Amino acid sequence: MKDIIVTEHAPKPIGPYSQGVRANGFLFAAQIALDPNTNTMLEGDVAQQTERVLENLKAILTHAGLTLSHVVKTTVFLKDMNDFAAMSEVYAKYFPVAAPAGSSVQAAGLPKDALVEIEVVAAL
Amino acid sequence: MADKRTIDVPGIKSIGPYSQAVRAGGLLFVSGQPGVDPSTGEAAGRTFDVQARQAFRNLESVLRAGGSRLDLVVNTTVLVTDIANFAELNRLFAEFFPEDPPARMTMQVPLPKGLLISIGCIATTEEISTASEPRPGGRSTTGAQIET
Repeated sequence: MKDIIVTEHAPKPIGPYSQGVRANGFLFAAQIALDPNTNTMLEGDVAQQTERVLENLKAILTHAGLTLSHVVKTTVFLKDMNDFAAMSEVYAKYFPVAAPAGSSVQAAGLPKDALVEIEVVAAL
Repeated sequence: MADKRTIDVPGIKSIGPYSQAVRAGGLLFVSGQPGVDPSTGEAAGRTFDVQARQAFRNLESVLRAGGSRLDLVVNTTVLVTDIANFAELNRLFAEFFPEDPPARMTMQVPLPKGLLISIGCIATTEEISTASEPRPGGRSTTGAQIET
């Protein structure tokens, strides 16, 4: 069984995917820096986009009764690996203790020409 | 919250604000392990074979620290800088996963510091979890990464 997470506090999906899916005690979600009010890309540098992405993910987790502290695995897709340090600085503020396992890769391209996309797995 | 627990591995340093592994719900999530010599933090060698073998050894160290083993791995994410090494990757996979190999996704990506490969995974753990039967489900966005 799986539950689909739908919340107005995170951006509407811009394709045939769900904001979040919960199954067998885990929640799966991914976000780019869309503004949940306008559903358009945030104009900003990688630090600002990372903050928006994590706020979007937080909203999805909150809707499912979770917080970022429940995240056990992240995958960070960067348009440019040179942004790794700037992304990490913001990321670290959102995961101050018990940071998730993680991987970062440079993607050949991201939706909406985003600078960063973050995928998370959270454990209920 | 659930049973989330971070795993530290003596001798293996993270290069960012992430844990080497996290246990939750009967699963162990292992961060990407590059072919780095743990004693120096530098690439283990110049060839794909040397780095890949070291990446597998690092993966095994983290799995053991988290109460798991290579034969309990269910899914892997492999990053390589040159997909031309795919055949060699397959040979090593068969060597380290001789029976019931895990699911796998491989991407060609740029990696820093002369690294040629990084391997991350999700594994079951030896303790029997009292939580619900865990199984990582899929999700999809319109990401444009190269998959093979």
